[in-house]
Formats: sequence, structure tokens, C-alpha cells
Amino acid sequence: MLIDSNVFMEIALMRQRAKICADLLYAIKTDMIVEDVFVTKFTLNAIEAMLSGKQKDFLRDLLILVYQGKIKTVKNMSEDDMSALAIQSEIGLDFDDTVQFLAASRLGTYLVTYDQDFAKTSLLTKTPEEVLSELSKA
Amino acid sequence: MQFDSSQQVSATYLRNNASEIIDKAISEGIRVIVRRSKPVVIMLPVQEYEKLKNSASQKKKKKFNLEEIRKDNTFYKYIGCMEDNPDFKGLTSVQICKKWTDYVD
Repeated sequence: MLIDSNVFMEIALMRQRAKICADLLYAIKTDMIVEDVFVTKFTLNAIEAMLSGKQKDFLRDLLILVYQGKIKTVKNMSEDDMSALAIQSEIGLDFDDTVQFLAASRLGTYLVTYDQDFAKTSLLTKTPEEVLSELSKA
Repeated sequence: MQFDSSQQVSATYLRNNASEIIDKAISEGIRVIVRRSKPVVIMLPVQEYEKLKNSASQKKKKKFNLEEIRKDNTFYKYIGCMEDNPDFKGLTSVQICKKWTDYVD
């Protein structure tokens, strides 16, 4: 799974699904998720920029997951950025979303997100609720 | 980490005798490539690698338990840590993430 930035920000902003997003992160932290978990470097940069100042403890705990290899970072290759520019209007996404779309497609995985814009693409997306529900049934 | 000396191969020897070393790795198991007296690379048969990979993922797998997660979740303390930021009022996390560069300066 590739996790989109809105999943992390849902927690920090105490939006309605904050708890379930925190549950997803804790499941990753405690090795309850066997499949590979990814974030793009693009997402990590956005989170790092937004979670500055008082939120640095949250950022630190996220980065620990990265350092421990529990979340793997995907570097956006310059070719991907070029491709994103080229195809974003074709698939109807903005640049940021197109970068996520390309990264998930390249990894052959799905995107964990609340962003409905991906529904107009062929990319498989799941919400954190769906991921945790599937794990509960497994 | 200790390795049997019979498993060790210098990088120079590998360069000149790659075929022999690959055959030995297939028939006798791992080869440890040594550079400047330090083990730097391990060569092992694909089947051995698959076994290692599977055992690592088995080891990693813990039974998913939502109750357990919710009992000790150390990420709960961060819920709402940015809630008082006036720039984010009334916006969803999706909207903010789409325009994150507007808020970080």
C-alpha cells in the first residue's frame, strides 16, 4: 500500500477519521501489517513542511517508522515528474495526485487515501477503514 | 557477524572467477564476498533467499487485533495537534494536502 498525505493530516487536524488513521499507523508500528507500506518522498516532504514547530513529536514518530523500514519511501524519479506533467490533464488529476498515481502504478500497489479524485482513474484506492476492516477479517 | 573462512571469497577472486563462485554458491550455499578483509556482500542461491524472505515475513506477522491497537495506540496523543492552526479551519485534510505549499511559508 502507498499512503497518501491526507491520511497523516487527518490525525494532526483532528478530522472525523483521525482515530482510524492513527489505528492504521499503530498497526504498522506494531508489525500487524505484513504487506509493504510506502510513502512517496513527495508526501514525506509535504508532511515535514506542515508538521513543523509544535508538531515535531508527531513528525519524529513518523520518521522513526521510516528509519525502521516499516514505511518505505519512494523517491520520485525525475522521469515520473515529467510523466506527471505530460499525463495529468489526460487522467484528470492535479500534479500532486498524478505523482501519487504514477508511484502507486509503478509499485503495483493501491493508494490509501480519502481523496475522491482518484475514483476517475483506474488506480485502486482504499480508505484506512477499508484496510483495517480487511485485516480484521483476515 | 562471523563467517566460515571456506565461504569467503575476495572481490578480486570473484572478478576473475565469477562462474566458479556462482556454481559453488548454488551447490554449497552462501558465499561471502570480502573487500579489504571485510565481508561486504553475501551471494546465495535464490531458493535460500526465498526461504529467508518468507521466514522474515512470518516473523513479522502479528495477529491483527484492533482492540489491542486501541488500548495502547501511541499516535492518539497527536490527534488534533494542528487543530488550532487558523489557516486550516473549515478545510478537509484532502483540501489542505492538495494546497499544502500555500500554508507552509
